[in-house]
Amino acid sequence: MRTYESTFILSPQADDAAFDQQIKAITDLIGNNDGKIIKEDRWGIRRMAYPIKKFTQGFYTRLVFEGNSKLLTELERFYKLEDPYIRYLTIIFEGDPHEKIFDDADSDSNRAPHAKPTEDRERPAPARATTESRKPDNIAPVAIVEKPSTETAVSEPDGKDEPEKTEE
Amino acid sequence: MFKKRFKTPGEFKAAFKTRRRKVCRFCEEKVRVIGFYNDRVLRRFVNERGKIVARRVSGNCAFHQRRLTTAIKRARHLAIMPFTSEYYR
Repeated sequence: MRTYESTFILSPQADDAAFDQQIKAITDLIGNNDGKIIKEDRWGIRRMAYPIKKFTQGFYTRLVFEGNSKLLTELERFYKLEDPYIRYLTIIFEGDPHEKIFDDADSDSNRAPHAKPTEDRERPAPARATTESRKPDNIAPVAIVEKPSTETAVSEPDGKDEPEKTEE
Repeated sequence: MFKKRFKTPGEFKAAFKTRRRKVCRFCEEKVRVIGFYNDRVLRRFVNERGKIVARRVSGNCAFHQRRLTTAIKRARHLAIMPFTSEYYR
C-alpha cells in the first residue's frame, strides 16, 4: 500500500449534484478496490491556464488516498473512459502532513492574516516566526486570498486531531 | 577566468564582494515538498513567457530546482500554470 494523490478536472458543464456524483464515482472506485481516502480537497471551478477540450474552466478535485497498483490502473482506465473527467494527474503523495508544505496552511496563515485560520494543522511556531521575518521584500504578500485549496484535512495521522478521521 | 574581464585579481574580488550571495528560498523556509497546486509560489519561478527560470537566476539549490521543475510541469499538465503566456500565443 502506498499513498497517492490524484487530481482531476471535471467538465464545467454540470451542476453541483453532478459534480458530487462524479467525485463520488471516483471515491467509490477507490473504496471498492481496497483503497482508503485520506483527504478530499475540492477546489471548485477554476479558470484554467489554457483551454482543455475547448473548456476554459474546470472543476478541480484533489484526492489523497492509499491503494495498490491495481487500483491505479483501474482508476486511470475509468478516467479515460468517462467523459466528464477532462484531465487527471495521479502521483505518489510526497507530503507528510507534519512537514511544511510551502503552500497550504503555512502561506495562508503567514501571508494573509485575514484568511481563514487553519488551526487544525500543527506547525512549529518559532519556525514560522523566522520565515516571516526573513522573507525577502521582493516577494510581495499580495493576492493571496484566492487560495485554491479549501483545506479540508480529513485526517492527520498521529496528529492531535486523530478522532476526526473518517474511514471510507 | 577573471583574467578575461578583470585586470587584477583584486578587481575581480571587489566586483564579487559587492554582489549579494543568493540563497535558495526553499532552503530558507526549510521546504521539502513543492506542491504542483501551489501556483502562487510556482509563478515566481517562471518568466513572463511561462518559461522556468534558470537556477543561476533564481538562486535555487539543485535539490529544490529539481523539485520545482517537476512541480511546474505537473501544474502545466493540469492547466494550473500556462505552457506559454496568453500574450505570446
